[in-house]
Amino acid sequence: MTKKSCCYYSSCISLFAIANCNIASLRARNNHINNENYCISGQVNCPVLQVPRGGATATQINLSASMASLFAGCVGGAVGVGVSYPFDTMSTKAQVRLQGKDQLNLAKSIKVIWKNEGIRGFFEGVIGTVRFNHIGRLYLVYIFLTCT
Amino acid sequence: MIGQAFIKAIQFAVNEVTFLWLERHSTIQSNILKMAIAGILAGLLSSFVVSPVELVKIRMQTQDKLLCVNNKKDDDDIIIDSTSHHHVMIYKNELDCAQSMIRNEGWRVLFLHGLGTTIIREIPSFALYFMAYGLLAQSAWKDVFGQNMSPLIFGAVAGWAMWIPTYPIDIVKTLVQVQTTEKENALDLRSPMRVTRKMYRAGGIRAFFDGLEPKLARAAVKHAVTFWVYEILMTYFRTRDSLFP
Repeated sequence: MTKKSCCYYSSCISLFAIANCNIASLRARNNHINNENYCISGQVNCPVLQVPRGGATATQINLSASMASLFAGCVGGAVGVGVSYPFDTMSTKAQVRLQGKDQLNLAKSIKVIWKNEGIRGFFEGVIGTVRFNHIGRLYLVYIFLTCT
Repeated sequence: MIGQAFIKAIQFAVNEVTFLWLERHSTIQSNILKMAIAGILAGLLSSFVVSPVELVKIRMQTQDKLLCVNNKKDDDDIIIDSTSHHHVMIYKNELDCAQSMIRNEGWRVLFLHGLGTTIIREIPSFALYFMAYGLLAQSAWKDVFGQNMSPLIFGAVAGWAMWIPTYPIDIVKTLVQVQTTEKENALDLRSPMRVTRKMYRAGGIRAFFDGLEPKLARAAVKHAVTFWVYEILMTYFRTRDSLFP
């Protein structure tokens, strides 16, 4: 496995962990409000991973729903973009090439990119967006969460 | 990559929250209209993030120039001249790409280059996207495909409904963003209108749909997988008490 793909998977996992922590802490707070602490599978003092059973106010439900939506969107988006990235590269290359008459279809672009650059050509730019945009993105998510 | 994940997350969350809010506070009866409003807000908010991320992505993807170099026929056909923009540069990674962009063109370019075109593309595309998905999810097709298959198929169809009308805007955006903003850039095709005019003169309407086929394949795969995972996780959250079984 290349360094690149290792990096990609580790960042996916860390994202998963961050989202999990957020949901877990939110649920811990809700549980505290509702005075319903559960323990999971033999663990002592572990009220973290539980959903409030009824009695939650509208804002809590809303926040919880948006958190769950955010988390699901995060994971879904990561998987979806990763799987479809080669097609994106093909499309961008065809757009920049831009010949009105002789269009690049799917099979032809696969052939050309494979011949010229190999497998790397399909995945150029797939990871590193995180490296300088990560902070900005987290900031936006934070604003969004505090607003709702 | 993670950037893309957060974009998706913002879009989904904004959509869901806006929809809930409209349901509670507004007098609008039509569900389609609500979905459109939610989609417009999600598109508008996320395009400020989408624009710089896609700028770096596009420059990474096109850095090798291999598809462009060999296709010089005559001047009218070629919109982007291989010698006049940054493609001769090879970036090590995305950080390197962003850094050299900041160094050569400035901070403002990173965030503002192509932002307007991105907003113009994002708003109709997300309104269409959420409307299409919402309509399909309410329709009888849900019973036809079943619980597991329908998010996947609806996601793909919604992705197509989103891309086909907005693809010309996307191609203009790509061509605007691929241009450097350095002074030496003799072509000066930074204005979207100028790019559109030149494209139309060179290739007619067909020029605006070049590369649509891979884009549709991408949309089908991406949106199907995204929605599939999203729906699985949301059902999981709704039905389960705990996050882990």
